Amino acid sequence: MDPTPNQQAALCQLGAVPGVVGSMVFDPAGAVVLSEFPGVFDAGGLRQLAAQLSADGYFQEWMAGERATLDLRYGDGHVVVRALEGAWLLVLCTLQVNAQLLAMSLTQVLRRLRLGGELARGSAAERPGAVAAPPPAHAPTLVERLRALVAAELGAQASQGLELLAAAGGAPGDLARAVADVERLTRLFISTRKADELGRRMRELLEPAAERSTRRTT
Amino acid sequence: MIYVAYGLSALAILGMGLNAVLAIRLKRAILGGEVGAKWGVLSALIVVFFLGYLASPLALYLDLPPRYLGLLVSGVFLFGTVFIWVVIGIIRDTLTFLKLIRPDGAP
Repeated sequence: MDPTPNQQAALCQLGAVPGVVGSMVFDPAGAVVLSEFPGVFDAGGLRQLAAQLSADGYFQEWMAGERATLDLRYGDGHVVVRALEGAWLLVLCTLQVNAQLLAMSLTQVLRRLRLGGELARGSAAERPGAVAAPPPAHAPTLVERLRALVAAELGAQASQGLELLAAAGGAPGDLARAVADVERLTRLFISTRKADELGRRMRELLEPAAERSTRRTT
Repeated sequence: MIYVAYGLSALAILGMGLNAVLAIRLKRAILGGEVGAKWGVLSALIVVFFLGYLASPLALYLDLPPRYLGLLVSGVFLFGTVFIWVVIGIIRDTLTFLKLIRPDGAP
């Protein structure tokens, strides 16, 4: 399974669900095909986890078939594994994740991941010998990028910030207020240094959108 | 009368000991940020109060001279003022974040 930008965007979308910490797709050979985890997660550790799971006989037996699913609940987290065309999607969530919202998002993301794979295969089959062009990618929206940034920066503490972003409308003014709230939340209750960094990066994402909006109105 | 004072001191020590334990537990649970820093100051003040409370029966027993007693009471008042100032700061920060406070402070 060769990853496409569309599939990466699908994982990015999953990361925007409140309570989702990160996700990855790994194949039966134990290789991590796609990954959307915050930087604090060691890539080597994720590869080792994928290799151990895919080499486990019980795991392969349980996770055989397209509808296979595995739900693991721990004291401080929740892991969901879903089968995906000969590979597996693993999602790490906090305990605060809304199970129904997660199930709906997983259905949508799995469909996008499968579709992305089919598009890539179709594109390669149509033009044998040619370098397969990536399928038209769904460019993540500003809100999705903000959510991905908050999820990556705040990790397990991201759920409140993601809720603030989810409650904001799509208008630049609403988003600017939500960004200020997320920065204030981080400054008050998590870390002042992280708040400075997160605020700066969120404003960097916001500014071009605000400029476009101003140009449109003038 | 002195036994009443000792009894009140014992109750105060028990209560403040419990407060100190609760404050330190909460300090460990708070992630950080401005509220975390302020809670650290509050926890330190609670520990100072607790130590003062522990010493209060001794002040009674040793019949501390009035000038030292006055100094002790003034110190407690000063630490109490700082304590209340920090508590007001935490409550103001939290209410402002939750948008449950009027920006102009009007009633």
